[in-house]
Amino acid sequence: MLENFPLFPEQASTMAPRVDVLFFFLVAVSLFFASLIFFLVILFAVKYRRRSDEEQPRPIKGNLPLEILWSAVPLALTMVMFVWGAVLFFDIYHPPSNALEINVVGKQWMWKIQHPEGQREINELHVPVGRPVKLTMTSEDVIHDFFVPAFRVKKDVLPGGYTSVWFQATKPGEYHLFCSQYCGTQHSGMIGKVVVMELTQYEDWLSGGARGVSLATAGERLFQRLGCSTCHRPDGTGQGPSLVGLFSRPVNLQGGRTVTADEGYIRESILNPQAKIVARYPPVMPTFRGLISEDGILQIIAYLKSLQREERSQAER
Amino acid sequence: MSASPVEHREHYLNVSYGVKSWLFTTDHKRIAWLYLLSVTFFFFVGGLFATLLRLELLTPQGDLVQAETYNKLFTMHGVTMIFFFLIPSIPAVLGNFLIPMMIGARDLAFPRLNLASWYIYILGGLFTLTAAAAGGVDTGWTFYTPYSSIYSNTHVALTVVGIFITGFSSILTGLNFIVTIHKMRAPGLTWFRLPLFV
Repeated sequence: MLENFPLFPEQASTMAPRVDVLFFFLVAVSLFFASLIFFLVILFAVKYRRRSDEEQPRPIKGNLPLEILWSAVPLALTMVMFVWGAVLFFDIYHPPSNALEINVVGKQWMWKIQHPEGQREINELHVPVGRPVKLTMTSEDVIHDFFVPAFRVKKDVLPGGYTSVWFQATKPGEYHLFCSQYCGTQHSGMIGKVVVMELTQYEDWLSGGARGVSLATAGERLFQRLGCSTCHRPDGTGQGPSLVGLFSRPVNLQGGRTVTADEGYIRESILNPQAKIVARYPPVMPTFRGLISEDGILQIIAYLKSLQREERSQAER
Repeated sequence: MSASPVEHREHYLNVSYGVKSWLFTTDHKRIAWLYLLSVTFFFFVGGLFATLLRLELLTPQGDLVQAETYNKLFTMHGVTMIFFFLIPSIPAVLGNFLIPMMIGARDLAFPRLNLASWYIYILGGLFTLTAAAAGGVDTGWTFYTPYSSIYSNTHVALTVVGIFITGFSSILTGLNFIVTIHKMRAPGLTWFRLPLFV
């Protein structure tokens, strides 16, 4: 249905047809009522026109059934729109757990991509077809917006925190990538492409080219170089808490609050360590603002995620 | 059609003549006209910016203006149209003209404050036009931070001051309307009998 509607970008993700059907539903409902109102305005203007100078309009006392009708029908329709839209929104919001995780850093005026195996790209994003991909995104400077029309995917990329978006491409090919939040002089030139490849070609692409060390390894090196490992010892004997198995777990803070150790929490703890102090630990960590780049923070997060996997696999043994 | 001679009736347009009688008027209908003329002026200023944008878009190359100027043009277009045309147009023009008549009041509650609102609006507009003449601003009319606060080195402060001043004009007009509608309705004109516009 609606496979190749003209004027519309190609549908190249699992979400695209679902977004389009909702969109067309909204257009159809609006069009129906706009025409109805237009028609009735003209009809009533003619039908109830003043026919003589003496004619006095009769006062209208109200009509209960009519009032109920024109309250209930729009209510029902808007509830359909709301529930339908909310379900779609939540599906777009929650990436599947088996998604391939790729980092995106926006800056004036380019997209920098980091793959988990260490490949880096600028203004190009290579992904396999038929596999969910989750992007964790942040900005080095101003607000950007990651927009791939063919995937019906669009999400603001904010400085000072992470946003994420996911998609599953359905057709190999090259698709436009735009920045759709005005971000300065060369905003209109901040464009790139998403290259969707068959799995085998994707494997070739991954293994070819200049691949550095994996993100987790790069993160581990940073972790040593910046001296994080002095206090955050894996066995928990250092000044700071052990970070093994930290990611996505609840953390007890001073004052009794609990937070989940997600990307945003880790980033905040690196740049603004005094914001959330872990219970039973002294607030002695210095800030690393200015010492570490956005790319670097994402590498450390990848490293911390990998620590979790090791622990899990040990637990499984 | 009867051919009786038109009898001379005094109304707000012929009660007095001359520029001064308009610039110092406290009549709500005359102030509505002042607003109508000034929002129309700003509409054409905003339209001029839009025309330049469209002319540039005739070709893909930046041959009429470069990217930097283009960004300033659409910002100035947005700023002018939103803050100096759209926001004052319906409330200040139609509101000033119609609200007293619709509720049976002789004028607004504070006629001199009403005139002051118009002057404040013009003052804000002049500030923003000065910013445009001085080199413009390139943040988009939404002024999203941190682009507008840290990264843009155009005339953000001057433009925002102009918009801020004009904001006080809308606040005072709004205050005037609220007091008028609460206190000066004709006897028997209860809340549920008010016209939809009010």
